[in-house]
Amino acid sequence: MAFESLQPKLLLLAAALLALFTMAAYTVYFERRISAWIQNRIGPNRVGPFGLLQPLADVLKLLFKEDIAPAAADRLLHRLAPMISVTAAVATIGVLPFAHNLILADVNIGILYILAITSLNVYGITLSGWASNSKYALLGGLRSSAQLISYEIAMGLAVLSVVVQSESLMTSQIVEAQAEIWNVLRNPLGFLIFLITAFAETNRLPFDLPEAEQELVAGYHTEYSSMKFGMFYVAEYMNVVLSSAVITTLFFGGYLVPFGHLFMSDLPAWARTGLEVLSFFGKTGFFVFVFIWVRWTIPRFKYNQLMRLGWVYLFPLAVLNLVLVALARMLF
Amino acid sequence: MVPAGGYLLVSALLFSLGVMGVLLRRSAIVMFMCVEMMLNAVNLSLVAFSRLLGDPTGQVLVFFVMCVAAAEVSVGLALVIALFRNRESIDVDQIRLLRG
Amino acid sequence: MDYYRIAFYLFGALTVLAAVVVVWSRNLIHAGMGLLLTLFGVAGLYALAAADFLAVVQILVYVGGIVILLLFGIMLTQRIAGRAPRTGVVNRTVGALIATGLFVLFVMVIFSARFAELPWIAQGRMIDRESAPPVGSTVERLGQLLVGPYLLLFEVAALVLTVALIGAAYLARRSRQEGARPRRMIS
Repeated sequence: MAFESLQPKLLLLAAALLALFTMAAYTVYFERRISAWIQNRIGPNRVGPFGLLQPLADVLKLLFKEDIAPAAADRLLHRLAPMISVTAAVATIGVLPFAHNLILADVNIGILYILAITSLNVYGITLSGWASNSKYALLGGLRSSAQLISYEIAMGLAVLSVVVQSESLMTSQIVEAQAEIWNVLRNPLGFLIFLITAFAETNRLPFDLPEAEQELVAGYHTEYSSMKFGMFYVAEYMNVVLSSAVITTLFFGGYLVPFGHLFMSDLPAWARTGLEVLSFFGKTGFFVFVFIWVRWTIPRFKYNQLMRLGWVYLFPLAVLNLVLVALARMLF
Repeated sequence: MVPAGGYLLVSALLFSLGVMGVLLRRSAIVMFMCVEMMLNAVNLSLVAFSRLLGDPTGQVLVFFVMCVAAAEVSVGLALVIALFRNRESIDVDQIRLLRG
Repeated sequence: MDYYRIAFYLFGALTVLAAVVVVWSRNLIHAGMGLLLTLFGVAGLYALAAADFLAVVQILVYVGGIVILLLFGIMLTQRIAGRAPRTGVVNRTVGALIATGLFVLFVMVIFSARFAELPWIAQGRMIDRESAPPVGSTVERLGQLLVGPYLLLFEVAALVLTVALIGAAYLARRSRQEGARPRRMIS
């Protein structure tokens, strides 16, 4: 393979990374603005017009903070854990289709790859909990590994039901299989299960027990400061953006433009690609909003409720859904 | 293309290191890890041969080895935890009695 | 020197070096991290050997499941927030000698066998990189094999996993009398 053939991919990678980091940074901003709006406050509005430069100011502030590691910490793992978190989050963009034929690597195991990379998320949190040598961090880490492993099963089953419907593991083909009707309409239960497990996998609020402030100070990142904390923070918001992108891809037709078959064929190729990219990011943005909305609406679960929901309700429901979808596939 | 010999060499190294680990270490959990490494070494050579032969049957075998490894680890870890609860140690040299 | 070869050497080196960490590190958690990297390297080698499905399953099952369970085991069986989890090394000479001897034996076998020239492989569907099956077909062929000729094995594997799960839950559960003792484990 020559370098020239890699160049377009490298350009796309750079663009995707830029988009991801920008979206993650502005998700932080919108989270603060929307939460303020929900709670009748104003929110950050001082830095730049409408406070739009706030993410930049936050990053600068974090960079200038002192980088502290606890005396009894395992230095190597303490340093490694936030890197693992960010890497596991970023690696997902490799198989997400942004538009028709606009994908970094259209591998034939795409959706399994996403599941596998998601399972790496556990390491960042567990190791940070262990390496900090603090009981709050350790409890947060242990909680989160149990939580992530439990919800991964229901998530995998929900993904499998989509795979059964689209008869492919390739993300691009899963999107194309929704040309007639989105998966959310054909498989609403699977969507619901996936949405709930996505909240759990990203440690977002109804399930943010690993960092429950009232019980654990800040959970696994109690002992982190400066940019190491910043990396956990960025990883969390990147996970929100990426989960939204995966939900869009699996259930909401990915880059497909709604009612696109009526007018898309008349447009030039560049306009089609542009519209598809817009549609992909528009849908993703909507789900980012849903993530924020839920966070400021629903209170935190207790740990036993969390485990009960995962194992007693979601898991059997996901199995049932998979069987139903497979039956429907066989009969019709 | 890398000849199958490359894969087999890595596999041989991995297996020998696994044997060395089981012989050298006395923590039940590290011994588990080394057994996993040996299983992986075998899987790697199976995959290499399957590639050489152009026949995916070898990969099916790897799939089953992975299933057995998962089962083995879950039971083994349960044993280690039960052991630790009774003895407060997972050093296999200290576990000599069937009852104690 | 093509990318394929470079990737092979990188993953091979990663696998072996991380395995050395597993064997030599006295810190249990570091050994666990070494195992994680070893399994990751093996997954990379699978992907290079046209076993992409196995590579992903390797990461899902080993990295996402087994190593996490092992780390859990380490965290639960070491005194929490006490001394670092360390274990010693025994049988240095004998163990090293046996392992080295085994390795030398393997290398001799590999180099004297000349697998590529063996009649059963030469007569089989010998492939080179150009005529290799397109990457897209591995998953399908594997799936067809699993629910075709190997269906019985597939079901037996499911049974084995279920039995192992029940057994593990039974073993790790504390019995009624024990339940009265003060809880040491944090769960």
